[in-house]
Amino acid sequence: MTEMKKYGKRFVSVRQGIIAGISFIMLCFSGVTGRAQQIDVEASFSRDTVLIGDQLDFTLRVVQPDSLKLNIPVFRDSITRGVEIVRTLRMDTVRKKNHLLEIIHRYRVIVFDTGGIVVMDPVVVGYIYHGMKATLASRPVKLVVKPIPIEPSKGPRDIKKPIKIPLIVYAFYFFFWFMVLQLVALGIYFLVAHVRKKSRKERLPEIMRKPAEPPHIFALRELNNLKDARLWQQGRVKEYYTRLTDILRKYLEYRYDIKALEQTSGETLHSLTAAGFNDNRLFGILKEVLETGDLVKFAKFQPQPDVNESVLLNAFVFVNETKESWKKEDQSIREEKKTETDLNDSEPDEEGVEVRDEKEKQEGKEEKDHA
Amino acid sequence: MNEQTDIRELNERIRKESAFIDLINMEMQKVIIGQHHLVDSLLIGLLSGGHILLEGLPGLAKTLAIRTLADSIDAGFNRIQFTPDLLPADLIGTMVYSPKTEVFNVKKGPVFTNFVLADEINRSPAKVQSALLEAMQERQVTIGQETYKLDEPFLVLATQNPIEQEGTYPLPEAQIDRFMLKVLIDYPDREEERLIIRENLQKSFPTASPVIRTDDILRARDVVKDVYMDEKIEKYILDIVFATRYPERFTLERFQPMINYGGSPRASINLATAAKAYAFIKRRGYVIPEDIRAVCYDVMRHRIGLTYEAEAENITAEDILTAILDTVEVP
Repeated sequence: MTEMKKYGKRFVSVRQGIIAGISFIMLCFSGVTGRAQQIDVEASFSRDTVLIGDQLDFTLRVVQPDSLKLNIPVFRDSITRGVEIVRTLRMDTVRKKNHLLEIIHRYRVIVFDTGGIVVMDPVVVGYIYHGMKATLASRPVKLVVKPIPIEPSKGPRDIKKPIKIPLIVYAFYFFFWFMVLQLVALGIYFLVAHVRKKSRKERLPEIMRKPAEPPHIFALRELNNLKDARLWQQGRVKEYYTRLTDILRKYLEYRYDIKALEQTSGETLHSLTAAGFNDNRLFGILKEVLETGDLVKFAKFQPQPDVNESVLLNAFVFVNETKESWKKEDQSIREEKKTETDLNDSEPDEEGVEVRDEKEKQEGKEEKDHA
Repeated sequence: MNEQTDIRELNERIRKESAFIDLINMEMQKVIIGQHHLVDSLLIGLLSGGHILLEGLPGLAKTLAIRTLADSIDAGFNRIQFTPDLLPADLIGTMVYSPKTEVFNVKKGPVFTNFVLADEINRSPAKVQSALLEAMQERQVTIGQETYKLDEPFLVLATQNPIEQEGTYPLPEAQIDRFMLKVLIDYPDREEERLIIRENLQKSFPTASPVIRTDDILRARDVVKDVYMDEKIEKYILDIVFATRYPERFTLERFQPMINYGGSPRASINLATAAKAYAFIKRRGYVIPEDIRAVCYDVMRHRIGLTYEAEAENITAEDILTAILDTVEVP
């Protein structure tokens, strides 16, 4: 009996071991099975009852083990018949305890079915478990769509008028910043235009730029330079007359405000008359210089040396004598200015006029020396 | 000094050879009152061998002016009224079968003469215009297998009416370019019109008589070719023509979107030739910028293609040319 007890004890312990082993194996497998069974698919609407045309949210929530790959359907146009997708909302994935993932797909939907109950088909999720294809479906969802209630007692109504939205603060801010941006853009445009205009002005040839000094100063200086260059003495007669007539035309352009550089000799003389020039002697002198210049420039005319000298002298005479009248005009303008400054009792302007008078006296002295 | 002598000699030759200009002017003034620009343009065409297109409203003596010019020269003259049913053969001629001799004989058309007045040229379809314009360019006509040279001087003076668009075939740009000058004729002034009325109310209308021969014209053309043109003038011509092509290079950016195409090299050649003829008419042996400016509008106006923008802005080729002449520096 003692042995029996002894053997019985051993038998019990073996049996317990087998049970424990089986339990262990089952426990091992039970983990996988448990995880497989933890897949959950749930479809729901944000509301159970809606009016026709109302918007609501549809949510598809899937809980799954993170190691498993699920084939979750993605809806494009509609969830089911009569439930159309307005837009797809942000999708979310949340990692949970026990190696589980929660995947949430949300859609903004609209229902146009004319009343009644919409039964949402089960959403089927496919996956592969131990090499076998498996599926899991959500429970069907019910949505009650109510029609617009008709109240015959109130009678027919007109179409609703447009809603007037009050001017709110952010609209004012938007308008303000829009205007600021417009002004900045306008400023940039004018700045660019100014810079471009300036650069274009700088690119213009020398002859086309308006001198900053009085025209007679420029003309007399250029005539002196021409005299010093001794061009005709070197046989460069054509160049001599080209420069001489160019100086005179530029002088006429800025002295009488006529487009002498773009006009022929005849047109220049005509414009000069039209500008009120009525000194016949000086007109004759200018005409002779320009016509001789044209003959040399365009007709291979070779004037005698005394003619070459006389045209330059005539050019000096014309500039000096027309300069006188310019001075008179300038004097009258200055007198007017002086009167104004006297009235305004502004000292700096008076000084400016005096300095200019002195300067012109000096220039006159220099010109006399040249003569 | 030799060059100077050449110019003097040339001036002398011009004085001698250009005497007929006064005679033609006198004859034309007997019939045409006013229209001095038209008369000058006709003489330029005559002296430089360039064809002329006259455009003006009806009743401005376009046809009469051309007929008078032809009458004052002892030369052949044919007037062709362009109609929609005109055929090229009506113009240049055709082969006619002779049953008597059993051969095809050439029957030359009215284009075989010295002066052709193509009246209302835009009333005929393109094939007739092309036939005439080919004769204008090549100065020869091919009928059947034979090519026939046209007589010299050969000058086509065409007229067209700018207001009537219905039933007309406007000349294509490539063909209009073959006319050396396009002259616009305007209304006479009040005093001129009074004289026109008086002249037309007289019992007999004055007619021009031949005062020169074709040889005189051909000789004068040789002298015109000798008229001296300085390189400064050549540069001025090139500046004007290039300004029609690339206005932005001459500070005329505003016209860039308005010009579809500018003057062709033929424009430069014709501007130079017409300026020489104008200098000859003014009894000068050399060209001055005034000559270029005097002929510029007539030579260039039909060679500037305008865009829809220009038409929308009412900008004409004359406006563009005025701006160019006011901008391009004169030598």
